[in-house]
Amino acid sequence: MKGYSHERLNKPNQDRILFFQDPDKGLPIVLAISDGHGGSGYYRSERGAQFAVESAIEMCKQFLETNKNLLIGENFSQKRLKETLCRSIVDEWNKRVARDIQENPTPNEDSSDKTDIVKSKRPVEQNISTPYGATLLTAIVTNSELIFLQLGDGDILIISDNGDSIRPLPRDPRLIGNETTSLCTREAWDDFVTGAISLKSVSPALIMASTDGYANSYPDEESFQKVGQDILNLICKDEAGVNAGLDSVESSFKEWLNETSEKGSGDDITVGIIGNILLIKEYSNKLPHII
Amino acid sequence: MANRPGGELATRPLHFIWICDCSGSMASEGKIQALNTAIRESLPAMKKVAAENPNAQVFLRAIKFASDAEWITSKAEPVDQYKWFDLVANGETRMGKALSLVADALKIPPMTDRALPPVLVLISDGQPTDDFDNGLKQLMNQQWGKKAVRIAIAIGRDADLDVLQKFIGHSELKPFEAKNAEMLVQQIKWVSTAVVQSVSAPASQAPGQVGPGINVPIPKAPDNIVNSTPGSEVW
Repeated sequence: MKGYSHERLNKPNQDRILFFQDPDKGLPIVLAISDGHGGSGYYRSERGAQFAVESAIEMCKQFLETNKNLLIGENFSQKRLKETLCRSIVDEWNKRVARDIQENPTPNEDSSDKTDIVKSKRPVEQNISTPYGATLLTAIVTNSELIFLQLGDGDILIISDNGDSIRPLPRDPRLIGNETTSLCTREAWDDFVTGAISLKSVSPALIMASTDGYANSYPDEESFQKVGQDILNLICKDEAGVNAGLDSVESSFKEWLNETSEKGSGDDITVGIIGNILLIKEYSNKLPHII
Repeated sequence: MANRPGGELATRPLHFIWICDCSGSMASEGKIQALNTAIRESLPAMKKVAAENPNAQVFLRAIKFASDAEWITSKAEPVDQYKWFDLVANGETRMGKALSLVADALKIPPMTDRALPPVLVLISDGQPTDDFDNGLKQLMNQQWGKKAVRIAIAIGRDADLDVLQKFIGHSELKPFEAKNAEMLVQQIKWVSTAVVQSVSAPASQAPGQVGPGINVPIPKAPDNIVNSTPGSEVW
C-alpha cells in the first residue's frame, strides 16, 4: 500500500510482494517482500524491488528442489546458506538489473544530481545496480521447517498456535535510522541474516512479513508485535467461523494500513501473511466463545 | 478504527538538540543576546516546518555548557510547546561534558530505535576547557550519536574550528562561521528549517551512499548565510 507521505508528495509505491505455493501439495510456500529505497539516487528502485521478489521466488524454488531430501536447518550453516541460496538470489537480481539497463538505457532518469545536497568528494560506493537498490525479506515454509532470509530493514514475525508472537531472526544492529543493507551493495549476499527453524520446535499459526513502514508506525516493539496476535484473534473470533474471519481480515487490511501509515510512519507498507488453517482452527477452538 | 490490529500508532520522533556555549566570552559583544534572539526567532519557522511533516514529531531540547554542563529543560518537549529560556554567559567551556550528556540522552532506551536520526547543533565561540575528545567518544559510542546529523556554528574568530569539524565528522560539511548577529540568525533559522525538513522524511538508502559520516542527505546552505559581506564582520 502506498504510504501517506508518498501519497502527499506524489511519490510512487516502491514496495513489492510475490508468493509461490506448490499447486499440488500446498507446500512449499515462498513469500517475498521488497522495499525499494526512496533516496533520489534510487530512481529505479520500484523495478529493483520487483526483480528482488521475482529472483527470491525463482531461486528459492530451485534451491528447495535441489535440496528436497535435506533438512536445511541441519545441513546448512548460516554461512553456507548465505554462500548458496542468498548468493544465488543476489546473482539473479543483478542479472535482471543488467538486462533492464540494457533494455532501458536512459541515464537521464538519474535524479541524483538534481538535488543540491552536501556530497562527499571521497569515492562513494556506486555500481550499475545502485539505482535499483532494494531490501528483501523471504519466508519459506516446507513440510518440515521454516526458513527465513532478510536483507535490509523490515520485520518477520511468527504467531504460534498459542497466540505468542516471536521474531525468528535477530535484529540487525546496523539497521537504525534510514540506512539499510541492500541488494545493490557489493557482497550483498553476505549481509543477509538467515535462520531455519524445525516445525518440531514451533507451531506457526501465522507468519507475517512486512516492510519497515509497518513497525515504524508503532512506538515500541510490544505495540507492533500485538499486530500479529490481534490478526489471529480477529480471524478466530469471527462468529461465522475461521474462513469468514480470514475473508474479513483480508478485506479490512487496506483500510487498516491506510490508517497506520497516516497516523504512523507515513511510509509505504506491504504485509504478507502465511496462515496454517489447521493451527488457526486449533487456536480458535481453545478460545472462549460467547454463546 | 475499532478493530485495527496492533497497539497505539505513533509518528516517528525527531529529537533536535541545541548545545550552547555559555562561557564567559559569550558575554562580550552581545553574542549571548544574539544567540538567545536567534533561537527564539527561529521557533515559529521550525514549528511551521514540523507541522508540514505530520509523520514526524519534532522534540526540542537544549544544553548549556560553561563551568558545568546541564540540560535547560528536564525533558524533550514537542516543538509546538517549546519555549526558549534566555541563557546567561559566565564561566569556562565544558564542551566535552555537554557531549557526554547528549550521549546519555541518545542511549536506547530512553531513545527508541524507531526514531528519525537526531539533529545535534553545537554552537560555540571558543575552545573546550575539558576533555572534548572523551565527550565526543562517548557520543559516537551511541548508535544514535553516530547516526545523528551533527551541525556546528562557530561564533566569532576565536571559535575552535578544528574541534567543531571533529564534532561534525564529515569533511564536506563545514562549521558555519557567524561573524555577526544577522548571520547567526540566518544560520540558526536554516538549521531549524531546511535541516529539520530533510531529516523529517529521510528516504532509505544503502550505507555510505551519500558519503562517509553523513547518513541523511543534507541540503547545501545558501551562500548568503555561509559568507559574510565585506565590512560586516563584528565578531
